[in-house]
Amino acid sequence: MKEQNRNTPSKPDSTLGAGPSLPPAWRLKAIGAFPLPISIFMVAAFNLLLPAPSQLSKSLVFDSPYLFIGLQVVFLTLTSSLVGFISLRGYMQTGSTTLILLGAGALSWGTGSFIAGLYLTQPNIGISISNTSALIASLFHLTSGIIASRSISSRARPTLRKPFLTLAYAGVLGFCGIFTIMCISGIIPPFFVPGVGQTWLRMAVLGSASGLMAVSSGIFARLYLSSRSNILYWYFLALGLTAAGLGAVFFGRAPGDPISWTGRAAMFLGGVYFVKAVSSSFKR
Amino acid sequence: MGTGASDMNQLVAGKIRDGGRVKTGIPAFDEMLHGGFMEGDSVMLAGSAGSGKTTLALQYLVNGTTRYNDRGVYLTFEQLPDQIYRDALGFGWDLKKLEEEGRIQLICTSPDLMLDADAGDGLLRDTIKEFQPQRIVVDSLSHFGMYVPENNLRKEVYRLIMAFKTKRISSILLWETSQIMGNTLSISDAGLSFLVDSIILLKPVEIESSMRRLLGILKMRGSDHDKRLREFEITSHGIEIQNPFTNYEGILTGSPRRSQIEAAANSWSMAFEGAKQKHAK
Repeated sequence: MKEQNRNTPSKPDSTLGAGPSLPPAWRLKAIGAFPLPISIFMVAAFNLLLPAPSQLSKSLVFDSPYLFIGLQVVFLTLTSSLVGFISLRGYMQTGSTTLILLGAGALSWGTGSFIAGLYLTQPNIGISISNTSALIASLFHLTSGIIASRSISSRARPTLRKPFLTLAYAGVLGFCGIFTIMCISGIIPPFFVPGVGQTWLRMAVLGSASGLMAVSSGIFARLYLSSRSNILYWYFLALGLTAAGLGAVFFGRAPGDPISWTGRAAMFLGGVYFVKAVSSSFKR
Repeated sequence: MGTGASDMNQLVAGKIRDGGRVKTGIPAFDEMLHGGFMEGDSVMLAGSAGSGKTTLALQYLVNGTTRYNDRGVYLTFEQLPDQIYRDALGFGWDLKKLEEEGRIQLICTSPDLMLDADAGDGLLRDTIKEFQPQRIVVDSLSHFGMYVPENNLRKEVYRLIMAFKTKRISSILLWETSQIMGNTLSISDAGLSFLVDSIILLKPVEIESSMRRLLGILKMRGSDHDKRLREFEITSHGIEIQNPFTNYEGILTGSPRRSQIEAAANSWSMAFEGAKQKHAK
């Protein structure tokens, strides 16, 4: 009788005859892997389909600065702050260099997005700050990824953690502040000239940011393959989506065109993935 | 050693409670006490065996005499002088020398002698009269209680405390709690916690399979104090107070667990650190 019970499937109606199915968490992970290649594919497709900037129909462009800024704050600033916070707490516990760099990178990304929103009417300033902070964030993430994949442990002593953390976080905030002042003062060469478009400086900064973010994503993906941690899974995808979003700007014909919205959507989805990574740490 | 009418008058007149603080000489502990114990107060130092009561009490006396020029008496029912000298020397405190210099006095006696009005009580009374200490440590009330009928213990301890108070002596009374670990917290079953002005708890706690020590101020009559439970270590030079256990909940129950955020932060750290270790293999 006992044997019979053991062999009885718990959900016979839904699973019998339907073949093996994935547990819900795995299903979500499987679905979560799709947006990254889809985003890259869409950017490539739009790049082939859309005409040159001069021939682009205005009906294909939708650019609401306020909507964009609102989305930036919600999906980039707030989500990054969450990563910055959990990394801060983690660093205070362990003193791991990986975490302080991760937190500083997230803080840079979130702060840049926020400050950019304050300069709605001055696109050059907003773009300069957000792109540079993206580059700084990608450098932090890359270094963090490299250290995380090395076998040597690098941990700060408990007494040094608070000063190091203050130095790193205040340093990022201070840099963003000083850089903003330099942009306003015209010390920094323009990233974007209204009516003309993006400058070579922006392309270099953004290209580097996108490339480094993609490499970081690759490093964390490799780490995920060895650990199978849900946190790393969502984290590497978040970085990948952010890299794809930053890279999409290169192919855009005009702000608010389908390519630019695809890139933005990828970055915002990256923000959601960052939250998913953090929430995974609460479930473990 | 009775509490005469003139002594009581001193108390009522508020001569004892003049707002003065008696520093322990352990900076972080004095901070927790908002400057130190109140002058003339009786403090119960409660903790299980090996929790650091004797070390803290000795440090209080030694710091008192070396830093604040307070004379101190160490009254013990439990240990022999050589044992105390040896243990104190391990922390760099030369009690013998301090005793020779007339700054500290060690009284090793038996509780039944103390309770004998003609012998022990007289010894303590005479010591107080001649030596005029500002600080006294009684090690321990638990041992003292073994010689007193249960219904008399409260009365005897009250007598002792009042004798110290009327002479403006700040006292530390050691009390051994029965359980080392566990999910209940009982300081004293004899109702002594009402008699003392302050209660300091020392307790070992198990956190992530390692033994750590906590110090908490459970009661401090007439003064605000730090309510947080702090970690402490017994180092080669005595007690060192460290950070509060802010990241844990349920410490006093003996089953501490990380707060939800700290647990998440730990998982977050482990994901990146654990990945590093697995990747290196």
